[in-house]
This record gives sequence, structure tokens and C-alpha cells, in this order.
Amino acid sequence: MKKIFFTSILLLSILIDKSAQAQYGYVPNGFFAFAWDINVPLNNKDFIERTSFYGGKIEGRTFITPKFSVGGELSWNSSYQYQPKRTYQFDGGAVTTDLYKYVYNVPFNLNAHYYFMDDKLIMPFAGLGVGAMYSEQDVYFNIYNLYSNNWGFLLRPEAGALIKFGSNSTTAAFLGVRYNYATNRESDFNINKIKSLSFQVGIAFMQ
Amino acid sequence: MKKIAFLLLIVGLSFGCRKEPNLSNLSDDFLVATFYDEEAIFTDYVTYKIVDKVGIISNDPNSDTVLSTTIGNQLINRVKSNMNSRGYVNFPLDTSADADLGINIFTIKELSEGNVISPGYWWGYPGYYDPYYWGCFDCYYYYPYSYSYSYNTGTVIIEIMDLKNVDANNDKVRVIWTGLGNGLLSDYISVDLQYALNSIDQAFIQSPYIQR
Repeated sequence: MKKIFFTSILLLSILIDKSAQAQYGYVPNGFFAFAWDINVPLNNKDFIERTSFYGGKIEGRTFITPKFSVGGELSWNSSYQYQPKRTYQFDGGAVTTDLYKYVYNVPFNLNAHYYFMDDKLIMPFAGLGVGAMYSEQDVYFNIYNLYSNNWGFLLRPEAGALIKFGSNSTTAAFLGVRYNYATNRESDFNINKIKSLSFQVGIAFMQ
Repeated sequence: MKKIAFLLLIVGLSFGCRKEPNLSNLSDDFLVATFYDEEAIFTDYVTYKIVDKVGIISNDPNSDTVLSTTIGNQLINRVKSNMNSRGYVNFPLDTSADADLGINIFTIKELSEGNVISPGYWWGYPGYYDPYYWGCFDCYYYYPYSYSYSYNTGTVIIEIMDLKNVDANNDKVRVIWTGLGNGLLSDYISVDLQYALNSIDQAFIQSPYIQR
């Protein structure tokens, strides 16, 4: 009896293990992801060159095939930079002040992704997002504020990976890196196109 | 693992919020702007006269129309010392001799009404004790009044006029330079005076072309 019992336990444990391995092959129908978004500006550094650590994103994707998903995303990032007091010369005059420069971006896009290993614990992917970006620029000095906002077309190639937390887990770590290209323009602040590199670390809830 | 996931989510969302600068870190010094006539040749002038009183233009009905002599003279003397250090010669205002340049100084004091703040605006801010703290769990504070805040901005303006080339036919006196210092006023006259004096110095510093 004891022998049968231990044999059963052994068989069960093997089955559970097989099942666990099979779970790595579990392909979700889709997922929602929340991530911290770190944004490194690549141009317009005269306005703000500082990396933004204040950003995030919310994203949803649905799998059309095991290797291909489509989805949508909303993200945001903000950054500011203090400029100590200095004199700005212009034709016919000059102005002296210290100031804060501030930028707030809200890109949103539709996207499509390809997954290189759809049935593994780690699911690397590459994709492309196409959408629009709303951007605000502010300059604060003394008690005054110069403000502008603008819209641009957005293109963002992206690569990353979903790392499942375990065989039975429907949550996964979300890691991503991407290049953002937006056509926003603002002549007052000499902004012509907004290009940046961003890194995401977050969580995906799979279904 | 779920705990780690939840922790990551909280960290992500915490860092993800919109972050705006703390404007109270901006300097209290006046903003200083200068404008000049690009056709003017400042080396062509030798002498100047300057006003002996400093006016106040204000929308505050309680404001004086002229600065006190003590304060006004400090502003006038600061402009004089800057002009003298650039090589120009001061003629007293009451002398009959004509000067090449005339200098005006005046101030603008503007009383600005801020938005009406409804008391309770700060509800929920950290450090603000809501009625729950006082033991009244479903209560809210009731204010039988509302109020607004106001603030004063001050501006000191210096104008240099070309008296040497007055266009008598068209009754025109050309203003060839304007220096302007502007900012929020404090509650202390001595502090505001220092802002104004510093702004006069800065206006000349950023205008090196004012030189004999």
C-alpha cells in the first residue's frame, strides 16, 4: 500500500512538473500592463536635457496569433530644469532672470508587436506604435509663466520582453525600450520635433 | 511573487505621477529687462540731467503718487552712480545749461487680485487636519464666508532720453534706453528697495554699450 502511495505521489509530482512546464507554453489572449517610464531626451536639449523619471504608461494588447498582437497605449512623462540667473541677449535688449523650464508629454498610440518565443517563460518582442503626442512647454520666471502646447504625429519602434513570474502565474514583468519620434513644433521655444529614448519597467496582467 | 508584482506596481505609479517644479525656489530678485535704440551712439553724449522725484503709478487707491524722498533719492543716486561710472557728467536739474541726456525714473505698484479661494481648497492636503481628526467622522468644515488673496507687484523704470537731438519740428524726444525691474513685492520696504537698487545695477550691467 505504501509502495502504491509513494508511486502515486511520484507520478503526481512528475505530472505536476510536466504541467508546470506546459504552463510556460501558455499563450495569453492578451494583457494589460502598467509601467514606470523613464524618458531620455535626444534633442531640444537647449530647452530640457534632463532625463525624466516621472513618467508611466498603461497599455493593453490582444493576441491575433500566438506570435502577433495589436493594442493601444497611453503614456506620460514630465521633466523640469532650473536655469540659474543669467542674462539673455536679444536684438535691441536683454533680460536677466532665473527660471524653470518644464515639459509634459502625453503620447498615445496604437501598436503591433511580434513575439519571437511565444511559448517560453521569457517572451521577447519587437513592435511599432503609431499615434499622436500632446506636449506642453512652460517657462516660469519671477511671477510669470510662458506657456505653449502642441500636438504631433508619433512613431515609436519598440523592443522588450515579458518575463512570466512562474508557471501558473498570470502576471509577468514588463521590460521595454523604445525610440520616440514626434513631430511637435514650437517656434517660441525653438522646439522642432521631439525625439527621445525611453525605458519601461512594469507589470503585465495576462488573460 | 504577487507581493513583488504589487510592490513594483506601487513604485511605478508613484514615480509615474506628473512632477512640476517648486516655484518657491525661484529667486525673489526682480526680473530685469532692458531695451535700447540700436541707432543710438551712446559715446556721442557727455552730460545728463536726472529727475529729482520718483513717481508711483498705481491702481491702488491708497497708494502715494510720489516715493518718499528717502527712498526716491536712493534710487536716483544709484542711477547717477552708474551713469557717472560710465563716464557721463551729471548736471543738476535746476541748472540752466542744457544736458545731452535726460533720465526719468518712476515706479509702478500694481495691486493684483488673485483668484477667489474657497476655504477648504486645501482639503485632503498632507498636514491638513480634516474633521475626522477632531472625532467627527462624516463631517466637513463649513465656512460662512469666502475670501480672496491679493499680491503687489512693483516695477522700477528708468528711461534715458536724447535731449541733444530733439526733433523740434515733430515735438519728439527720443527715448534711447529703457531699464525695467519687476517682481513681487515683499511686506518690507527695505527688502523691496534692495530689489529695486539691485535691478538698477543689473540694468546697467547688461547694457555695456552705455559708455562714453
